[in-house]
Amino acid sequence: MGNIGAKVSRINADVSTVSDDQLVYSSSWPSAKILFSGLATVDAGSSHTIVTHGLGYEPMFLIYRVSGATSEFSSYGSIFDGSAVASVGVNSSELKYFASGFGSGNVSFYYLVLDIPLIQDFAADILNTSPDLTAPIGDGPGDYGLKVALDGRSSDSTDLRDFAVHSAAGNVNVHRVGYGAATATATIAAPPSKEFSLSHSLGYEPLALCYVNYGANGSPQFDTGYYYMLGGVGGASYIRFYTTSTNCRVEEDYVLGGFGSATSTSSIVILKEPFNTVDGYSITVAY
Amino acid sequence: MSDWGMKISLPGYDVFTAQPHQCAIHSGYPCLKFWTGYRAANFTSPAGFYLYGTININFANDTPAGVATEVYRIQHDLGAYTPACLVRGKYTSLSSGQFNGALPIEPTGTLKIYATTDQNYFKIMVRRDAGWGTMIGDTLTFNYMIFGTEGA
Repeated sequence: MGNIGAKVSRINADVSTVSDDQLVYSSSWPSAKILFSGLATVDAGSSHTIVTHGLGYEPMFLIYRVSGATSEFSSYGSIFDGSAVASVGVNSSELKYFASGFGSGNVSFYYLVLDIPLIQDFAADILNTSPDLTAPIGDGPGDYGLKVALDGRSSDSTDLRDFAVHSAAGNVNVHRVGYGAATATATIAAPPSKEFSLSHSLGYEPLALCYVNYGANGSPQFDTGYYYMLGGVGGASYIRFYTTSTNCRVEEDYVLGGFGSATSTSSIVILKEPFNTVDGYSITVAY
Repeated sequence: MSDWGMKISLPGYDVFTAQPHQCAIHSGYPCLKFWTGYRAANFTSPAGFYLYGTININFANDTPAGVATEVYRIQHDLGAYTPACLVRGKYTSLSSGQFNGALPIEPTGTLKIYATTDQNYFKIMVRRDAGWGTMIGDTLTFNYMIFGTEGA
């Protein structure tokens, strides 16, 4: 954008010279706002609609599997302590739980539906391509800065849940969103393996998330028309997602296959957040 | 919500008609956010830890086989709720030196690495099942972001 709009920097950061990672928000960047959230408990052995959002677009979402008083961050709703995998996917009208190898009994999820459309081409500007990730972050929450409380909440609250915006807190800001079909590439060891990548020029490894619509090739837990969040290495259907300092890419395992169908579509959401290394810390653990 | 509050639309959108996803800020919907300057308590560090950052864990020996084992925790002090989080990681022999999208790593494999939260702690858990082999000398690097919103 040009030199117009509004910016709010973090505490002790000069808003006129600040780098991307030190901004709470910029009026040229969308922040991830929570549209729907809640706890869903469903019969694990069958598929269920978790929430009918009716947005008319496929929104970004996060899922947390709840077990007792503990919540596990669950990319694609995986269950880690058994061999079965269930999935949660989204389309333009609903967020849905899909059963696969699960038996009977209940399973609980906490869901966050965010206002970031997965199917869009968006690229924010970059204020500084050489940020100092070790720069001091500043003091803790204080009685200065910008605070916007939610409807019915007090701006004097010390609970972050009560605010739409709080300049003592960082927002999850979107840098780029892109989508497309995975195509065969020679950069993976054995074509016809495929990949879809989205470049960025942030100069660091940003937080990024990937959602895949497996199209007609979807296995039972991946229904056509729904987007599923990808997790770590060896994730769903042997699809892998990586983040580097220059791009983010989703690729098919060249031995096991994965995408298969030419109708598969991947959406990558790249966030501004670089995970500031000011508090980087190493420990050695033994058991 | 009622017709009051604060909206800042993105470039190209009329602020009077912009939908939430066409706004940078919309006071009717909370942003996903995390304290930046606040240091939480931590059992390994009296100085405390930020609620987002980077941790490297070096494994001097193996975690017990077949048992979910806590390898790191942060006391978040956010209040009486279980916060949402975002976590990603790279493990020496799994990630080809690159960050993958999000934990868990290998959710159905023989080495499972995942993150949990409860009303007191954010934790990194590891379960090493038969068939994985040794973890000695390996390193897990993870980035974490603990949000001021419920995750359960």
